[in-house]
Amino acid sequence: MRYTNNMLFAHPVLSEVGDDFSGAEFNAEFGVDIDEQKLRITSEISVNCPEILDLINESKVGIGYYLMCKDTFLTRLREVKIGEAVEDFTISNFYGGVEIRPVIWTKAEIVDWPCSTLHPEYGGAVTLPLAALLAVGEIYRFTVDREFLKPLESVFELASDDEIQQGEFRVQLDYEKIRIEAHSSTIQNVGEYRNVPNGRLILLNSVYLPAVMEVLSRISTGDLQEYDSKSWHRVFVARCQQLNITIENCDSPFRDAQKLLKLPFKGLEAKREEFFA
Amino acid sequence: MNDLLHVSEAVLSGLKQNISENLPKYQSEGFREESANIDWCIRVKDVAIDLGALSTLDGSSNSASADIDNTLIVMEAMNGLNPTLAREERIWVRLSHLECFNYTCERWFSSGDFNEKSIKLHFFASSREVAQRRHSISRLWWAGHIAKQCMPDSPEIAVRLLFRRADVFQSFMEKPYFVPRLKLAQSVLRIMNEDTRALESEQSYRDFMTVINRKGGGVFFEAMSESQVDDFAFQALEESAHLVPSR
Repeated sequence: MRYTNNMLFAHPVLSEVGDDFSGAEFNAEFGVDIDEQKLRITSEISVNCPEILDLINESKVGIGYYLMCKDTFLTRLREVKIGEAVEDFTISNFYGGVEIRPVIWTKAEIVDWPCSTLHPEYGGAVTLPLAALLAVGEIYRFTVDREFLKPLESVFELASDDEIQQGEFRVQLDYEKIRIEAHSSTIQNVGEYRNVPNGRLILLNSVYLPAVMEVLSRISTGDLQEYDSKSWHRVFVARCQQLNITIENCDSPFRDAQKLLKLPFKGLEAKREEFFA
Repeated sequence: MNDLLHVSEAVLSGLKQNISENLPKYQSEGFREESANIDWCIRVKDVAIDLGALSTLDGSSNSASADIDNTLIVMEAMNGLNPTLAREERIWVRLSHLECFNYTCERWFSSGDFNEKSIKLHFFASSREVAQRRHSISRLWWAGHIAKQCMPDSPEIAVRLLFRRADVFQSFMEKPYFVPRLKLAQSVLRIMNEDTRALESEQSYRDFMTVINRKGGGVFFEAMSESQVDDFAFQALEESAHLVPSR
């Protein structure tokens, strides 16, 4: 459906901007929850016109919302029940700005429909064609943030420092990304481990887990605002909030780092047979 | 199949800032010496691509027919990519600077004019518009993605229709509210596949779209059956066909 607020219709449309109905309201509230797999939309849609409610109960009209993401050419019309409803969508179909527009539409032609809230100029009853917009609500907008979808490892970068002995790592927080510093030959080895089967699992446990512990320890004991202009900070804090980790009072960096990296040893356990084959 | 790799943020930013300094590379051998650099080789988890297939891309022609063949190759070779990842510039930058460097140069720089503006458009994918319409490989992937959405059972036919006329490609790729009206977009392609009157000239396609837009605004095509939407689109085609003689 293409719709603009100044679009004219041959039939009445219940909306914030028009006066085709008097005293009737179509309201919707939305909540959005995003994780790495899914986009969960919680809707609370209500309409107070008894005749429209009858049409919904008789399945002559649908009630729900349009979900539209211009960046990925995606649109979905999702029919939901009146009141609270929860719907899940695959997150990999979304990117950037997303709009939700609540709507009610006809599923068949409705002839001589009487409605007590219709503007008097309609004479008390109207005929609604098939596939017509009967009510439209305010757009709710949100963003599927690319940073939010990035794995935590993406906020780290490797940097060479040949003054550090081979095999040792250090963590620096004063850059846009959390910098893991090591001797150039160690960095080279990390790169090689990254690209062999299961190499990332080994790195996650041996390099990234202690690095995340170090970050948690340093920001929980220091000034959190010190780093809030850094790119890594937003992703790191968002991920902590998502997992209910209180950064300011992190009493166990080991526990919380494992949580943030989704129990990295579990990955090694899952590949046990490959390692011991 | 091969791992899908991307460049790091630092490499992306360095390439963007140093287009002029890198001009000799764009004009000659490209960036192949970077292929083993770890900052050019960050693996995307759980996504594989067929680099062998991508190496068969043919940039020697800028014809619609070549774009069709190349889109079909990219669709197959990068079938595992999802739309969220497809908006990740670093993936496309790695491909256009390494594996698909020759194709990019042949297709978009055959005149040898490697100016900074064109390099930004065809080697980088910094915005939605550039990624979906300009980047040498990304535009083909997005065309394939739209074709799969519109004709999931026969995307090849959809690709052929999309590239049949520049106007068709433009209306599907450039108007973000057209493809999202998926049932209508699907029907428009089905009708054009059966009745080619709208594809006869630039004007005939424009007339068809004018009638579709005039009559279809505010219509809930999702509430209609496939045959009802096809009837709507066919009537619009009939009406638009009658507009031509009167002009």
